[in-house]
Amino acid sequence: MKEIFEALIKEGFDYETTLERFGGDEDFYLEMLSSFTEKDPLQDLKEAMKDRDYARCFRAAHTLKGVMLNLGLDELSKPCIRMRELYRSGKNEEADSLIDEADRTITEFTTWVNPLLEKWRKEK
Amino acid sequence: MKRTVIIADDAAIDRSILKRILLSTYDVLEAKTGREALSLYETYFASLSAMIIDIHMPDMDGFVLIKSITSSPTWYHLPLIVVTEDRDIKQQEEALRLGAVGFIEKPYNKTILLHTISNAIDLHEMSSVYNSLRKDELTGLWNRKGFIEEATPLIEKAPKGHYVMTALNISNFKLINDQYGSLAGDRLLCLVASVIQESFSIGADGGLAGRIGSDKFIILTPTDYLLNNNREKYYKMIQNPSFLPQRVHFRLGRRSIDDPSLPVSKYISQAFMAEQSIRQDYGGFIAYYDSKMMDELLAHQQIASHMVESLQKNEFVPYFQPQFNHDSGTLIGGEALVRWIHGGKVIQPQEFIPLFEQNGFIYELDCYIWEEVCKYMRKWIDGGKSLVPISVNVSRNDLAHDGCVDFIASLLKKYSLPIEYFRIEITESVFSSEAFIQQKIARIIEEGFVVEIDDFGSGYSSLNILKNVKASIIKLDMRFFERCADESRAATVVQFAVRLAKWLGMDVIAEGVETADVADFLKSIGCFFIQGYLYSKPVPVEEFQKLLKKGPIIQPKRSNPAPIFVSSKINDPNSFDAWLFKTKAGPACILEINDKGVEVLRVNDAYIGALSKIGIPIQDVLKLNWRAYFDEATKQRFQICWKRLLNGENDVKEVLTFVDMPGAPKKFSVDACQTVLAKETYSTILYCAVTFLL
Repeated sequence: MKEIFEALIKEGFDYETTLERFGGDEDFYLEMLSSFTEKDPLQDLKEAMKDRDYARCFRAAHTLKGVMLNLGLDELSKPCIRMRELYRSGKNEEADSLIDEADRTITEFTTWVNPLLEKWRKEK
Repeated sequence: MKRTVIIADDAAIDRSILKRILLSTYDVLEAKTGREALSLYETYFASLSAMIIDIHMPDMDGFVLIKSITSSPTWYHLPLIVVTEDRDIKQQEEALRLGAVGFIEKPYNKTILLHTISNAIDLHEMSSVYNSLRKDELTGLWNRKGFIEEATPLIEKAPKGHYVMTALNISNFKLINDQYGSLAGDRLLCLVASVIQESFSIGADGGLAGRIGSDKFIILTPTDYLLNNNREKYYKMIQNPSFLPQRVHFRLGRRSIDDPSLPVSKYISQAFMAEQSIRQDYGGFIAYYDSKMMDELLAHQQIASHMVESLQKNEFVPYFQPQFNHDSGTLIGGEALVRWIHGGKVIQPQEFIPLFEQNGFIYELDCYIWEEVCKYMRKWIDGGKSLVPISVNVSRNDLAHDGCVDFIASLLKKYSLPIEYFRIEITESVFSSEAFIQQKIARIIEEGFVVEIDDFGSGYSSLNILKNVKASIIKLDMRFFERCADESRAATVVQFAVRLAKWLGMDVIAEGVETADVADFLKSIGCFFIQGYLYSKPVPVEEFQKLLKKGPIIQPKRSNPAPIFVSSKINDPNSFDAWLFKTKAGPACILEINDKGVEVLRVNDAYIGALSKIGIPIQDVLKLNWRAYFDEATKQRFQICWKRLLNGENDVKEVLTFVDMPGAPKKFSVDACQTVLAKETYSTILYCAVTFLL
């Protein structure tokens, strides 16, 4: 098992369930994870917030939730899930206020995971 | 060969994951948006096996995508599988309602997902194969096998006579095929199939249609459809297809499903037997197999063969149903109704009018009856009788004839009758028919005729008609309210209609009044004009003339020496209203006070009696706004009195003085003792016991 997975598991990653979704193909998983972290995952959501386009905010949060759960990033998805529910019930300002928390957790995550992904790419 | 599946999802990562899962089993087409998915569907629909749809997509969401696909002409029940949130029941319900067959959830579970998709595909393919054995390839209707299999459970479950089987055969199909080629023939068959589907509401409510031979169609529909729907338009669509220079002839055979134990195949063959029975007969194109339908058909033919002769022999006569003022007992008018005196029997209109409407004879008959009525009215005038207005019925069918209005106007001239005595009664539904009919009605009103809205409240747009049409009289059919389970509701609706008419300056004639209770109730709410069995059924002219001869006054029938006014329950003497009017024996009324004025809603008999003593007719009282006739002192006193009532005081007594009220002495006063019964935002209802001070 690659070093990066050990690190992920330490953070609560469910290796078995998630990798089953990827046909047990670690490289495929890491490719997907890279395309998730290579640019700011919250970009679309932030833009929508700036435009106060709450339908789009909801959709963006919803999409993030789906992607993160598919990637097995359950812990990381929590702020986005909360935001999704809030947008859904029209509590837009309350939802907006969670963006910093979402941003912080995701940045923390990418800060340690991106170097490991870089390393995996080089080894490959 | 791998089957092809479309993934419609705007999230690239999710799409890739799903694609990877599916690639082992399927070929995958990806759509980043709903629009892309729709265009992929339109391009590849013939080779697709399933589509997986994410609900939340930016340009066109999943629901809209599903709707667009299922309403596309190429729709063939491609399995649509929706990606949903776990436990979002609303979303799942909506997806199923729109035609999705299953769900998968995010995060994906590979095993569940693959099974869901493959099960949906299997099921679809199996039913496609199955249906290809049961469907007619050319038209998409059922073939014989499919039709029988589908019809059998429907017939078994339905009550006797619920369904009718119709056979349709194109008489000159072979000729058309030979002359214009089989391509044109096929096109005609497809046209017939689509007209059948449209005209018989196939699929919408339990109808079925099949093609069981080259030009032989079979249709199963609820009998109601045949009775309620006008199929002329559809017949014409089949008769004159745009792509054929020749007229298409077809015949219909009908068999009512009256014995659920008979097999469907039997009904099919009997429907075709009926159709075959008229193949020599150029004129008729519908035949009935079963005895009841056959009897009806024969009876109709019987009637039709006699109608012209009967008209010449004066066998059609107007009967007159008198209308009375229930308060004064005065004859106020009559409605002319046609009867057919044939072979010593009086035939009721419901037995011949529908047929005459079908074959167009109705206009000739109506013209005749209108003229008969005019002749009688002339005779009455010449004989020195006191004339009352007579209403005649004018149907949609009549109005559709170009000369209708002119003809009626010419009759009045010919017999020099005063126009206000010849009233035109038109059924409510006709007021909302085609524009040219509405224009005719407008012309009748312009000519100065008194127009009555018959069966008011029975249609869908009663209020709309009142808004748009300047008719003078509303006719309320009380039988319409009898069938109402909740009498107090019915009473409220009647009361509303009467008040509405009053506000619009219209009169109301209640017809179908059979009991004195109902008549008394109507009187208490201001509807005095009564037509119904309580006073008289429709009678021959000789009898009606006697009413004219005897002079205007006949005694009203009373239910009870001390009439009870009840609106909450017409027949319940223990109701609140009954109590209110009974226990307070003196003159009393119920008033409504709002920002527009004071209105008398209900009065008791003592009140009517007291009024008549000072010379005010009760009709007028119910139409007046009393506040307009207060003298100066009363206006001020009333303000104070009003405030006290609103502040919760009961039994506020006040002397009110009226001046210049029409029909009343120049000045008179009443001693009014008022109690608040009900308060609403904009109005207050008072009970008011009054003593008239002269």
